[in-house]
Amino acid sequence: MRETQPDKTSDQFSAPRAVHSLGLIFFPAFDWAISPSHPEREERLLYTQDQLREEGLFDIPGISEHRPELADFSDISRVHFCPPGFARVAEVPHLASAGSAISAGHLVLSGTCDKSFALTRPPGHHAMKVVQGGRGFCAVNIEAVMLERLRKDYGVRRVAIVDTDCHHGDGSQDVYWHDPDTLYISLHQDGRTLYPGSGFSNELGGPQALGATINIPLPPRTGDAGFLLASKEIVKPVLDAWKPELIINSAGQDNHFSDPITDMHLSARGYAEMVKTINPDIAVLEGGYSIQGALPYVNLAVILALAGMDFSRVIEPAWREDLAATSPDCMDYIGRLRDKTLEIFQRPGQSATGYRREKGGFVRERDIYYDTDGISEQQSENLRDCPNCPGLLIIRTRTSYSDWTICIHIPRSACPACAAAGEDRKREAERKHEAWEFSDQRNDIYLRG
Amino acid sequence: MMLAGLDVGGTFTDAALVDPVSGRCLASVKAPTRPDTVLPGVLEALERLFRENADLNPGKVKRLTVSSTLGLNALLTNKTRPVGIMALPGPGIDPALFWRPDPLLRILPGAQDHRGRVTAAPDKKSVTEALETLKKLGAVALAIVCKFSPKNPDLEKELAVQARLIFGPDTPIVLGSETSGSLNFPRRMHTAWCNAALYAISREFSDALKKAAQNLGLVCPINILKADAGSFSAAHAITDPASTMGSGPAAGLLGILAMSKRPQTNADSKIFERTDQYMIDMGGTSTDIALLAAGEPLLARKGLNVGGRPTLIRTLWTRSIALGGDSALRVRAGEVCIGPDRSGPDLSLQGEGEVPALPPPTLTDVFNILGLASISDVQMSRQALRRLLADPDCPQTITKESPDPEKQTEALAKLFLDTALARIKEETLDFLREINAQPVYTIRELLVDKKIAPQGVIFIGAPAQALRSELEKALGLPVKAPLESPFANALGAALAKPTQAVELYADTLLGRLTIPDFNVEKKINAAYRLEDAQADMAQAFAAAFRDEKAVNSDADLQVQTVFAESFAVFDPSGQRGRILRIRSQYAPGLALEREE
Repeated sequence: MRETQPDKTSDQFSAPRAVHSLGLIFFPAFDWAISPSHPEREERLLYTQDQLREEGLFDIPGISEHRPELADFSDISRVHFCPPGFARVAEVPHLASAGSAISAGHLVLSGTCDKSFALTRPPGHHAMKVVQGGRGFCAVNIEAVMLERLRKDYGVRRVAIVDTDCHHGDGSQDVYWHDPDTLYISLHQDGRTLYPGSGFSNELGGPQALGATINIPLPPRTGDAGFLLASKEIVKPVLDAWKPELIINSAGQDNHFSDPITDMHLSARGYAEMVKTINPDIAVLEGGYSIQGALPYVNLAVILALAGMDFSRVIEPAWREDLAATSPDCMDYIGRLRDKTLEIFQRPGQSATGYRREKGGFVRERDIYYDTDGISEQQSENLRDCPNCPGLLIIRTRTSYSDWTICIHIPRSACPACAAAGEDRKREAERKHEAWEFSDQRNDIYLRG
Repeated sequence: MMLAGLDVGGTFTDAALVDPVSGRCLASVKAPTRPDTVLPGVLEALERLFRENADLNPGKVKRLTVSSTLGLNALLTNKTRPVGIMALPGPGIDPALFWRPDPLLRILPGAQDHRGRVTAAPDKKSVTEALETLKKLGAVALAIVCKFSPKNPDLEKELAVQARLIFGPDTPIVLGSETSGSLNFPRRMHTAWCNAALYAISREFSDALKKAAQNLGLVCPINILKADAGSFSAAHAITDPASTMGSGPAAGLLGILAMSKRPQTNADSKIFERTDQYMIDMGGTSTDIALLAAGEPLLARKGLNVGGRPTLIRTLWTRSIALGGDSALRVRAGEVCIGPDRSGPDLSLQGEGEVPALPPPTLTDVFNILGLASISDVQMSRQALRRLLADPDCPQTITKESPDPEKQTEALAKLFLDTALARIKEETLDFLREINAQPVYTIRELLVDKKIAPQGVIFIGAPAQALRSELEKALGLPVKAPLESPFANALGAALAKPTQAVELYADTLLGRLTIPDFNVEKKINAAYRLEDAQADMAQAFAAAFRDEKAVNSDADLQVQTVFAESFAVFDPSGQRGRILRIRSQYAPGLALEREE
């Protein structure tokens, strides 16, 4: 063996260089679908893979591709209560998708890369704190599973999740509803016109975490200019004021003008501009079902934006100026939304909507529907009114198929009194032979009985 | 029957006749390589091989395989002719960013999408203008490359028709789709450029070779060795000369593989038959690591990089460490340093009018001192190392341990050896990590998690015999150091078998199938399935290698499926169909015949 080596390079031909080093986890799960013709099927990231390869993206110094890890049930139990048992709800693909997000998180927190992007499926942002089944193509909240793992491994505290999927991320909102250390911001098509029908401006977080949830419901047919206005004049100032240690982007791609199940006007370059403005550390793919006309171009543009590179030539073949336009009325509406949202963020008020006070706590009753599995859930939530910490959370849950389960959640920053109350409630459940789940985030202990 | 192999090296051009059953060398010659031209050395070596071995009948040679640096040298010394390149990138990253400022690069409108559908027609007028400009600028060969052309070569072919009108029938015109079926537009541009640039040189070489062979009474097929440790016909090499660049390391690897299989050098040859192995080659300035996966040379995921051009040329996956027998040894701030430079008179220490400083000691001196080898005068080696002991930067542990300068010298030598072995171990493990960290795209692969796990090491190069047992201890794996022949590369070339890796793309909704490397295009219907595609693939291989049938055993021409994927596709219009992707290959290996 002698002379040439495959990687003997000279400076004569230098590839474009990434300004921010970017690690990609590309996990298309080419052998899994919810059902053969479901939007969440094998084909979904096929064209994206071809586009990224053909672009020579992985030859760009600073852009690297990495293998995902497989999450395990202990990672999921850090986030979810799951009365039917994880094995009934989460399949291997969900563990792989959550594992992809975790791997993306490690790349950044370990200092391997400046930024990372997990292009993975299935998505997760409709999976709530309690999981009784599948909702909106999701069973496991992949961003939350990643974030809790990163908190455990690296001790990060203040984290912002900016959800740019076209659907309101009601799952992520619910997981962090009572957590004042996690700012959840969602930009989405107005819930009066799209699944899941939530995410209104008055949803601001639970009674002890008011202002840590920000919803920006955008009118249908919002285009590039509208999204840019919302991200530059709402999201950006909120992030600047809140000062997170880490920004995660739930990067759904269904705001694209060609998406078949939504009604927005965003283009690939519009997406890239928005990502550039938000400047996330970690991005995780969520929805997006225009798999031929949008995803190959949006993913490419988002990757280039994350890497700090030029994306001006990523013009999808179907693009026309009017397809990505925002009407003047729509711009006015978003302008008013900006003023209202910033005002609420600065003064979120004293009480959360939907709660009543009861014996030293805040109580809320809810019905939740699991559309993927056709399950109805009844929930009763009780948050301890604690002046020293976010408060002990107890959720009673039952479905059309199962009896009550008591879910006890001691938050990361719980005070000794709340922690002791949580332990007491667990003992009581054991004594009364109730079904129970117990999560102690302070000690990373998760039990069920 | 015999196999003939020829290897053009920097100093010598070697030729060898090899027995295809034992892999033994029957005859060999060395002819000098001329510094600026390859052909005279090749012709002299061939001619002398048969003249000096009159008992060996040229008529009994089954195949001649040539490993030549012709293309590589031409490229590295800028002896290629000007190539015009027409690129149709469509949306995406600006292809000019992957190039260098070049008036001969023309970026044109016209585009295809990821399924090979034409989304923007090329503009006839701007194509004509570009062609005329290229002609005016002196282009004598053309490369035409469109994004996603492996899925649909139509746009490239359309442009080629226009180019013919302007450039005439004799100008080489290379299409990206013929260059490689792999998806990577910038690399396809570079590979097509190389093929266009080397076309004339390659044709001239091939013709001369054929004539010389005829004159010597060689009636066998002539093959050219490629960087992937396989070969293809000289006729094929004319249109795809890029693949022949970087065949030197491939010849070396095959040669060593052949020698390590010889019964007399290893009683445990079976262990090495189908397992994963490291191949470590320690030279004067570098140590190169390659891998055999289940007995086959492991090829890199990315293509060869030549003269700074990233290409799609399949090549061995190797790692090079700047550490070898001649590496300079130094002490700095209480630590020992090895290399990365080769030892020589250290001019940096030499002031005006001073006596030239003595060169630093080398790893070879260390081997001498420790009794692992006796390559030169041991006393000289000891003196060289003792100079380092006198240096205030020398590690304190060495000088404190014993007052005896002999013992100190040995302790320092041992420290250098351990440091070198630790480097090799670290790089070897890191190389393996890199190989095993390949991304996966299916749940099944993620669960199975198949990894390469070397069971042993084949160790070659000048210090191999001396260091064998030390390396065995360091790596914790059985190491064998086969006796080497000075004709290893020629031997390896002779024993190379045909290789090819091709992609098939089929889209039943578009009714189109392409196998770009074989230039196959076909209409398919809605009922077309993966089984049909695999049958078409096998047929395409058989047709492309029809001439090789006579020379190769059936075992050598086994089509391996690297992957075969079928995706159910639902068009936005509601139509259902199927997208199929297959990659198949003839894998590299030794063309050894089984004993009767």
